[in-house]
Amino acid sequence: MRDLTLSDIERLRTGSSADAVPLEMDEEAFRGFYDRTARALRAYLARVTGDGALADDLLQESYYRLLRARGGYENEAHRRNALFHIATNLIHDSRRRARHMTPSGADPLTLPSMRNDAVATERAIELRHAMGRLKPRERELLWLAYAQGSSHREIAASLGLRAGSIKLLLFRARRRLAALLNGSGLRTDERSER
Amino acid sequence: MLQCPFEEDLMDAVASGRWPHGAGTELRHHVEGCELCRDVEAIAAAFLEDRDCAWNEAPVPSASAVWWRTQMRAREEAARLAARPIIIAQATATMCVFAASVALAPAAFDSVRRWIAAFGATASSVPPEISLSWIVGAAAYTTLPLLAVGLWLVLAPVVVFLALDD
Repeated sequence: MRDLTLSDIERLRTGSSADAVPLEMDEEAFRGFYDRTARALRAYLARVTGDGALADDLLQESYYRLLRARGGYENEAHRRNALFHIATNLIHDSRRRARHMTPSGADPLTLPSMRNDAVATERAIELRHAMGRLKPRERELLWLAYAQGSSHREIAASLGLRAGSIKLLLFRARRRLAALLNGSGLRTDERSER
Repeated sequence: MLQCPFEEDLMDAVASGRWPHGAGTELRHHVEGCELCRDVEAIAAAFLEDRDCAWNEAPVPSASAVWWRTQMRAREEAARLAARPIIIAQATATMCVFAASVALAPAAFDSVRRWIAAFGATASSVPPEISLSWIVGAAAYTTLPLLAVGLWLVLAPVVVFLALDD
């Protein structure tokens, strides 16, 4: 990095410099990438954390870190996986912080966000209740696999896991969730009729 | 078996809204008898519905807003990083002044004692018995601050030079 003078520093502070701070991509490319990924990422963050406000914060932070990382991504899929990987790490960090900060020992991430129940279908509500009872890793796996339709390789890249382990982890998570959903009274045959 | 070969077909059928009635008979029969596919069937439609809910429940900030905030934060961070050497230089200079003051204190003490002695020979205002505490007090009030200021005057241009140097 080039050495900066005091006047450079002052310009950086005031934001008056014509030169933007170099980031992973230019503004136009970012806009396109953001428009293609933001909703999916926000949904992922909201459902895995169970907290809409936290999801908004982590959304901004995820893009910031991606842009600052300058990872030299090969293609859009690679960049997208990196974005979700960053987001997943942020979720884990926030969870660790929350654990330290919650004196009652209650885990806020297992409390499902039900603020938008009115717009959700009965099935989606039951899913959220069941998801709230899963481990964060299971929520991440299932959301990426079934809400986003990510491949095992993409899931592995997003979660920082080995691709070979995804099949087993997903199998276990799916079994647990299916058991929870069936236990909540939503039978497979009932759903088939809908 | 951890994954059924029909899972992908089933996911496609659910995602496209063809499940169950629009899906092929073979797939429907398979799902009825396959525990893995029944699990997938149990959760896939719910996930897709919830995904639609999640996509619509809260607007994401605009790309421009996120870009602007990122730029602002990146600038602040760059400024902070760039200013770090200056802070380090200032801290180093302060430490040097303090260390020099401590190192030169005995010499200063001696010179003050000599000065007091010489002064005491001619001035009547000096107390007849010069105690150690009196000398230390005099040194603290005169020599050490002067020493610190002198060192700072020497080091400050060096710090400014380092900060302005491209």
